[in-house]
Amino acid sequence: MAQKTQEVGFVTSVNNFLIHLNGLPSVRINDLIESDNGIRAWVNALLPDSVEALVLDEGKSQPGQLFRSTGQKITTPSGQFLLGRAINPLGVPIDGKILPKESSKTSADFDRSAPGIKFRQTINEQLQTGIILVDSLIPIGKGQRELVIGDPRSGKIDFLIDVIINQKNTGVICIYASIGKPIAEVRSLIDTLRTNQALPYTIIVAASSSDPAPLIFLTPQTAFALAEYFQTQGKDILVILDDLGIHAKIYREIALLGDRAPGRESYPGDIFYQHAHLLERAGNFNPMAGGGSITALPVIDTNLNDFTGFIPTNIMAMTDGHLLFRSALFNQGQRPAIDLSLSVSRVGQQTQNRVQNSLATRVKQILAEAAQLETVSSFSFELPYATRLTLNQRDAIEEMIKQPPLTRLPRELQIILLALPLTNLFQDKDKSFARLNHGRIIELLSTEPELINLVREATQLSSEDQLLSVLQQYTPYIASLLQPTATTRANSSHMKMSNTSATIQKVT
Amino acid sequence: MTPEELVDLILHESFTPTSAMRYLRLLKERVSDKLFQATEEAGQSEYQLASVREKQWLDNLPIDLFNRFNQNSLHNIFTRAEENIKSIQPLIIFLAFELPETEISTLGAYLRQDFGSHFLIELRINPYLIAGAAFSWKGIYKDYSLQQKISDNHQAILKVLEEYRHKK
Repeated sequence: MAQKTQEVGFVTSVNNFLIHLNGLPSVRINDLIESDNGIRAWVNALLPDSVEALVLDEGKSQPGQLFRSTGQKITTPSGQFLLGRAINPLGVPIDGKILPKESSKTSADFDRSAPGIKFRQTINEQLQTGIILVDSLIPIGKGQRELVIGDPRSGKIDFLIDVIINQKNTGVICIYASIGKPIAEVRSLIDTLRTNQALPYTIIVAASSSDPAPLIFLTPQTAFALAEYFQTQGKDILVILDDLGIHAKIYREIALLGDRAPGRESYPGDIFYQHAHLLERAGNFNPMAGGGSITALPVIDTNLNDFTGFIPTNIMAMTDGHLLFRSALFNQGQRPAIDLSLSVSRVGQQTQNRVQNSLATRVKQILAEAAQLETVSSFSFELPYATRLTLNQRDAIEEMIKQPPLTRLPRELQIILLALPLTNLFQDKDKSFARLNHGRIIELLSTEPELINLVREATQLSSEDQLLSVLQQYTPYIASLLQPTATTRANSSHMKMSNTSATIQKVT
Repeated sequence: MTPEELVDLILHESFTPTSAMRYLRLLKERVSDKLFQATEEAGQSEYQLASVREKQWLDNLPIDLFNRFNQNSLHNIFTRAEENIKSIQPLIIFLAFELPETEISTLGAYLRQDFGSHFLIELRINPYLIAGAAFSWKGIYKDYSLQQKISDNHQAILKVLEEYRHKK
């Protein structure tokens, strides 16, 4: 007689996307179950008398409905074919194209435990973002977890897009997880990356705000599963999780529906675990774990500059630093609008070379000193020379670290640009001099044969003092080249940003 | 009366969880009427909806059965009996058609010979089975239906049909 044995469960209760079933005797957490009409659910908890599952597809479940065990864990297809593609967390393409046949051959585990200390190594290589402020003053190492936090509309996404675009030809694979964002935002992101030829080395994993909550919840897991696939092949991966605030809210919704006891701000007790469990999958791995690295940039939107909320502080505690974006700085025209005094990188410094590192320390000292002198200076007309010098240097530094979107500055150029305000080039010059000549300086450093050599040798110098003494010799020459340009441009200050942008693009 | 005795009494007449719960409710209503002197209209709702067989069972219960309940123990006994019945895992039988009630009783009584007096069955209709039956017991599903047989022998059936078409 024909006979087919399967494990089944019957729905006993339905609460929105959360269902309870009896039966399914040997099912495990993260297993996939499926109903006769094709609705898939993901086993989320094994309770003493029932199985809790989250419905992943649109469709109605009702008490008494039969769900069959598929015998499979929840996985996502993985492989090179995903590069340049946009998929949902279950690996279904959302860019209107189909996946190749080979997609069914390899799959990545959603909830793999992070490799232990035995498989990790010191973070010793810098992730070149191409953005002077970050690379020089708040550097990010390959394998680091750096939180990107800030107000809405403070330029966080523009910054992240720049970082992705600047990974072109570096061998870094970028994975962008868009968690519960509007579908229009996802489309716009895809278009921007395509326009800037950044799509071929990028994978977009997106669950839009209209998707079922469990699917949104799985988005960062899929991103890490894919990252691990490439990392085990020895590649460097950049994972952007945009954003974990929405992810936390979705988890809160799931937990409250599942009758978990609410804790602070109604989040369940294991919300810290959920995010820590996720972010510890990033790191720099040794050859035993396949080599390669996973750098994670989780994003958090704050409300009215308040970064002391429960979820932001949780994530700050589990990352290796944070970049704080401020809408006030953004509105003042600073790009990227990172608040340097409140941003930190706990790992990145060890990846910088000696000159870059000591230069960054000196620059930060000047900025801190200038911040202290700022108050004093506003009450006095005649300032001592040393104070004026520090304030001038601060102004020049602030101009030098501004960088228009969609531009990339090579490391050598970053070093020279950051060191120039410490030379006598900007001495006795006001802020407008630095502002007007920013683009011109970059142009000169990239086109003048003598200066090209200087830039090339910048990273080879052993100390910051050595760099400054070499640079001092060139400042009269640079000043002579700047002089005419500065006067002619003095009347066209509105052209400043576009000039700088055009120059950097030409340079890179 | 103990809850266990009450469950035995109920399951003697009923073979599915649904009918067992209905018998329990009917009996509870009748006992409540006797103990709390309810008015005629108030206590007749379940009885009016009962089938002939259920009414006969209720009307033929021995009088001394009602004396074994009292106002204090009634609620507790019935609640525990209800929990007891709910905890029994029924054998779910999937059929392509609906069985008449007498057949359900015959089938239930037959199965109890092998599986004990507290064995319950639950019948579900799935016309896609075509014929035969499928069973689910404690989360394990076994399909003995014609649909399954056809799907197992899909290629062979197609081959036979193809040969038949060519012969014609």
